[in-house]
Amino acid sequence: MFDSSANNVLSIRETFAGKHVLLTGASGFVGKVWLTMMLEHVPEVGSIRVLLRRKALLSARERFEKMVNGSPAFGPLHERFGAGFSSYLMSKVQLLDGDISEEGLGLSAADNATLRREVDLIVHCAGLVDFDPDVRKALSANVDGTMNVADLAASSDHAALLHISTCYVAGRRYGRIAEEVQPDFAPVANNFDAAREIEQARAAIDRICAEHEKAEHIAKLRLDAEANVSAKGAVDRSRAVQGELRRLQRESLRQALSDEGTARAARLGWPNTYTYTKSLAESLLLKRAHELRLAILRPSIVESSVQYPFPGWNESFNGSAPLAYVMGTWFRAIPARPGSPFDVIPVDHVAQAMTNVGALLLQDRAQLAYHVGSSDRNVCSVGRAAELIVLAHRQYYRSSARTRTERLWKSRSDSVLVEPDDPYCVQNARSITQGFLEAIDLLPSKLVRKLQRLRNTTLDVDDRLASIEKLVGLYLPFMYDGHYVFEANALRGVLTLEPEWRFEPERIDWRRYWLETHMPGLRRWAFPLIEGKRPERYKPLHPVKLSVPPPALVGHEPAVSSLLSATPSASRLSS
Amino acid sequence: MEQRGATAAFFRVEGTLVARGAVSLAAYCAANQARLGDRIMRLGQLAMTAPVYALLGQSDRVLANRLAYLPLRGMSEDRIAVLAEEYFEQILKERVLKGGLELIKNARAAGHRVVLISDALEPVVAALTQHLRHIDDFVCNRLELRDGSATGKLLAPVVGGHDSDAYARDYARDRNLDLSRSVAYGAHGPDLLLLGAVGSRCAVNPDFTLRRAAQQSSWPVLDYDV
Repeated sequence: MFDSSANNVLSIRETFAGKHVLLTGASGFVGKVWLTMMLEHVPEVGSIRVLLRRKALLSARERFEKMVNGSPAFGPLHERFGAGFSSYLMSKVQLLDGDISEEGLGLSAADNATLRREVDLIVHCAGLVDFDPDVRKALSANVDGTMNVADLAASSDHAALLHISTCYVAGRRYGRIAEEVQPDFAPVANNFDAAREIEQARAAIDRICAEHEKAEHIAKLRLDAEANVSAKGAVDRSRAVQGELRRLQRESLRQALSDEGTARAARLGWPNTYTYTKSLAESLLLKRAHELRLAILRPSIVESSVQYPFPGWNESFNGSAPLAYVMGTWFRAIPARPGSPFDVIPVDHVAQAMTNVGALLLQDRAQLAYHVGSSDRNVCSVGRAAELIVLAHRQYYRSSARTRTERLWKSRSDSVLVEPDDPYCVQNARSITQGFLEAIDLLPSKLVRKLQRLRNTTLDVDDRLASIEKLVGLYLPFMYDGHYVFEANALRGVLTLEPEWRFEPERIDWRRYWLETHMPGLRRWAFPLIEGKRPERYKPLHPVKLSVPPPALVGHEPAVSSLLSATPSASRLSS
Repeated sequence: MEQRGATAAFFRVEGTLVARGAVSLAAYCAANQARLGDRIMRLGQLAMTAPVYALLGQSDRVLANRLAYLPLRGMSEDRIAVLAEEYFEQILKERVLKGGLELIKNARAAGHRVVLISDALEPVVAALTQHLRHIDDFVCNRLELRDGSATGKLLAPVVGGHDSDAYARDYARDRNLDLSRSVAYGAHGPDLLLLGAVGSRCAVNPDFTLRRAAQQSSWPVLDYDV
């Protein structure tokens, strides 16, 4: 029996009882699981205020309803509360229609004042997790967004800030990585100044945007647009050219800004734009640490849940999903260093760690940085992960092969890990397809026409190889270049009273996890997304409908655009 | 602790319950390596081992088993576990001998604890045990592992030699069983001492060595289709 009064035992339910939490990034993989786990296991929490931005034609309320009624992550809550889920949700969750990238989080002054007065803990999960995004968007979401959230925390009466970052801010470093935040850190640059870097990045963005507005650049794109339209044989040519030109302009600018982010990150020693911008945000936060009650939580590669909301839940694009997918296709030579640690952590473990650190923050006992990974406590190497991926594919194709190719070839032919310069590497495979295409083009035009089908097939193969080449490039820093062990000592001594909140990565049985939980989870939830299909949606018996007029945040006038009532009695389900 | 006077039925799995031995399992694992070159090399090793195994099988199955599992060297524990389960599901399960099932049924009916002694690896025997049901215990071979990969060596004690009787005696002592009223079923020469250690024994589909010994000792011999 545990004694919750003992210093080393943490009661999550007691600590969060009556506390008001602001959550950003609730629509993301981690945020969603954390929100559902809190609603399931900590009914004593005062309120969880979910900051959600409107998107396309959907308001924040509609987005939230769609998420709660369609995401399988909310399934256990629907099943537990049934028709009463709306009431429970309305008693605990308050929705804020805002945007972290805007000053004041896009909320009114009155909303901000209420939050400053009432919020005890800000859990900042929001961010852009693409590896190679438009650097403008990455800076806006990951740096500006974090600073805007920090502004709120700094100006609030008592709110602590839990910032979710990533272990891979460590960049191009090797060996054991300590749980510490270094001021103005860059992996391979000396005298680095994060603020100056952000200024320079913004100047570069302005320059690129200006270049893309120049007449000569547009004229060049117009030629391409005309060529494309001619090839397609559009009816309304001038309109089609305009449309194609706009598309090419957008694509060209996005590519240039993506390349700029990747180049800046690589020059300073980060593997991609995501880790670069996350690290910049950490540096800026550290400069403000004196005015914040701050903890930075760094998960490693967040993957399928072990237990909650159910084994195998996954909606992550940037974990092992693309790689695992490629390893199940006909391309089978993956460049990787088998002995390096592959630091994977299930999403519900991350949620457990977030809650532990959040509770420590509320008790003013938190450290500045926490690693949430497995490499220090229960290592799974790249080689082992790859072996388990191919074995899972093997099991799947042997039991559920749909085609003869799958049954005869895929179930018997495993992917292998190779050196990046292996004869079977993707670059060499592309040299063959491209060489073949060049050879066809050298033939007399009569013959080329006859070989058109073969040419198209080769083009298709080359396109797929190009995607794999890009993917391999994105993952090489994690699979081949880096050799990290993220120390995870800070949470080692934290024992929660409630077993469901214990962060114990050493209990993961990797074979069971990869074969029985993670890979089936990816196959069900992530691979359809990669294939451009719609994954399964949850269909609740009693959908949540938030039709109650926007009430105030706790004890405040309706200046806040919260969409859910603070009291269960005020809530009503619309039929 | 069993009640004094309880008894057991010891089955040497290979020959009495299944007709496939260690070479078959090792061949399956070798043939299902990731790289083609690896498959060829390991199968080649096994091909060289197989005749030696056949010769030694009647006299020294410890060395025979050590040789049979040698080509698994360097194979990951995960792959061996998956392949072994697969081997059971796709190959062994269909080849469990009906006569053996009947013997197990009879042993249960007679109130014996049913104990399997197998040359195979743990995942295979665990799956077999689950499939057969009503199996109380099993002992089998275990591979030595280093950094998650097999070294190709078997951990001591290696099952299959002349010391199955020692296992039966220890087992009986630990559980307070009466060996003089217990039963054993064996199929190969090295099982002689096990059969000699119990009160009732039966040579099932015996090889030449065991058949001759059984005839000399007037032990019952049971032959059924394999």
